[in-house]
Amino acid sequence: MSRPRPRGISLLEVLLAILLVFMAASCLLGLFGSGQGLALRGREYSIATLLAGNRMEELLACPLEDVSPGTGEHSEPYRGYTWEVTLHDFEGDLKMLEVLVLSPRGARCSLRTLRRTSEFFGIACDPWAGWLVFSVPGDPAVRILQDGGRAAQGPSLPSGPSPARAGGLAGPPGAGFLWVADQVHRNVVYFRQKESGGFEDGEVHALVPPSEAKTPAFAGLASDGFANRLVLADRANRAVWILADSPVDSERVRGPLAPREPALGTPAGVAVDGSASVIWVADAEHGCLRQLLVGGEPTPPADYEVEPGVGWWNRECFRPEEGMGSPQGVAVNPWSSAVLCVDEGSLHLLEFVPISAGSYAPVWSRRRLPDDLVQARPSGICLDPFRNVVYLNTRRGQVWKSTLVAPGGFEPIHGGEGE
Amino acid sequence: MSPSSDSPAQGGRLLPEPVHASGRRASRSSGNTLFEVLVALGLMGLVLAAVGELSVAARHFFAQGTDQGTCFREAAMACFRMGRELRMCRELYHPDPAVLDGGQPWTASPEGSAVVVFRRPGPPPRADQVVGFRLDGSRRVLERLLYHPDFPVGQSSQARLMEPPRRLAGGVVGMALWSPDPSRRHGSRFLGLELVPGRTSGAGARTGLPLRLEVRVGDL
Repeated sequence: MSRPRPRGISLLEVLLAILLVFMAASCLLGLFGSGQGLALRGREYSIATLLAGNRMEELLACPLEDVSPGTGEHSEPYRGYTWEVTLHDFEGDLKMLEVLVLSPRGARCSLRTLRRTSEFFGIACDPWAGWLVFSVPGDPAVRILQDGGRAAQGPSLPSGPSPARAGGLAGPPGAGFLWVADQVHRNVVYFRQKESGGFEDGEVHALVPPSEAKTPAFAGLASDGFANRLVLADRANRAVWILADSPVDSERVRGPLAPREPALGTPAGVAVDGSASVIWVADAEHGCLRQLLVGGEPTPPADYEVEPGVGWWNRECFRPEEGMGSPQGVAVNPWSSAVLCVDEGSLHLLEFVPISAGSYAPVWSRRRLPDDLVQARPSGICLDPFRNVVYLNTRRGQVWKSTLVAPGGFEPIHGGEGE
Repeated sequence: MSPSSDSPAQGGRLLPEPVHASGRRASRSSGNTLFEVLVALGLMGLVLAAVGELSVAARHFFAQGTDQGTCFREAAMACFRMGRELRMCRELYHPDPAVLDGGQPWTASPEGSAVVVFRRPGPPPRADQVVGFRLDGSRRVLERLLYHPDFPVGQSSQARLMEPPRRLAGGVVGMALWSPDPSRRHGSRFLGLELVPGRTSGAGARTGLPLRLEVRVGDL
């Protein structure tokens, strides 16, 4: 005997339905939670991007040689966010700089940029003796190029804890002295020529910076015609230094000297006129030349910034209308009437001529550098004012020559190591 | 109780099963008891109340989170935009020129209006421009101001605007400026900017993580 099926919904069915409703509601509500999680993660991505940008900004303000890879954790209020800086070879002398920031939940921001090693190799010429002296990559000894294009080994930097590398140069060697910057140990070495030929052992001069400044990293060097002043471009402090032959101790070393507004970017080359009254600095980062007047007050002073005890910084950034890329070496004739610089960015040799003393009109001339010279990466420049000839050396150890009066081409006079 | 279909009928005849007036077969039970319905309704009510409460809370939480997210996103974009202009700063007029030269850090008061004014190069061939960022504390809105180049530094209340203020972000409750020590920034001058996204200010303020940006000043 079968019982009829009861009508309506049983309690079990009702409970099952309630359970199903509850599960569906839970799933829907879970979407709110996951949406919030995604929003939070998005916020962490934004913060990681900000932190990575800040770190990269700081590293870009630092010479590549001073960039050291490492890891760390940010402080409050960004505790839990970690950073990592890596630097590895990319291609040729290009290096890949990468900043990676990770959030506590794993949001990741990676910024990368390519940077080029910025070692500077100087060249100095002695018009009277017919000598050229230049530094070559990875060598503590400078080269002396005499007529005929054969390079002989010149004085060598003393070795320290690690092998030295010669950089900027100043002083006509034929006049009896030579200053050479050591790019590894970050000092300058003074060589005096012997009467019998050759050079005496170098005197090492380490310029001690004030406590708040960094150990200087010298690029270009220049000295005046009387060897009274040596001017050094300092990449590490974005400044120049002046070593003066003075009986007053406090006046012997001046530096780091830097304008505040606008500030110097990365000083590469430096040049000084015959009386050391005008100093020109090539700012490779901002693509312009800067001028420091030593001594008297310029007119009008509103366009200048006082460098206490030294002179005046011209606020103007000198560059042609076509722009300037990355000036390296800079040279000026003894009368300060012509300034030349080699621009690795626009691949031109640039020259501008003043119209009247102290007032440099924007009269520029540009000469395209040949491809072979561009490939070899020009660095230093020196001027023989009597023959109106400029000499350029490259980061591959080559030396090129060009005549200014009858502008012709550039010709290599020394093809690099092994020649 | 209805007779069973297989029970013997009187007189040996099988009588047809009685049919309900509605045409449906009569059953033993025609539905749930009042008690069952009440229990089910009670349970359903409890579940609905819980789900409803949860839903309201989730919606509130979601709206609040979305609101905070919007504030944060707008503040982050404003931070990047302001950084692009501050890196070209030639001279700081307000709040205190010394901030740019390593002076005391400046923090905007949570109430009232705070303005940062500085001079930067204009697009060629024009001369320098005077740009300001104003945080309106009552509306919690951050705006960009473009002043006439003849900005009266001593009487900034008389400064004239060249165009109406442009809204940069809403929901910003704090702003700060500072200049990091150049010796810790490789000899370069940096300017730090902080924006605090949030919806309320004053006591019991609910603010998000601050956004801090440091730019190198003097990139001209």
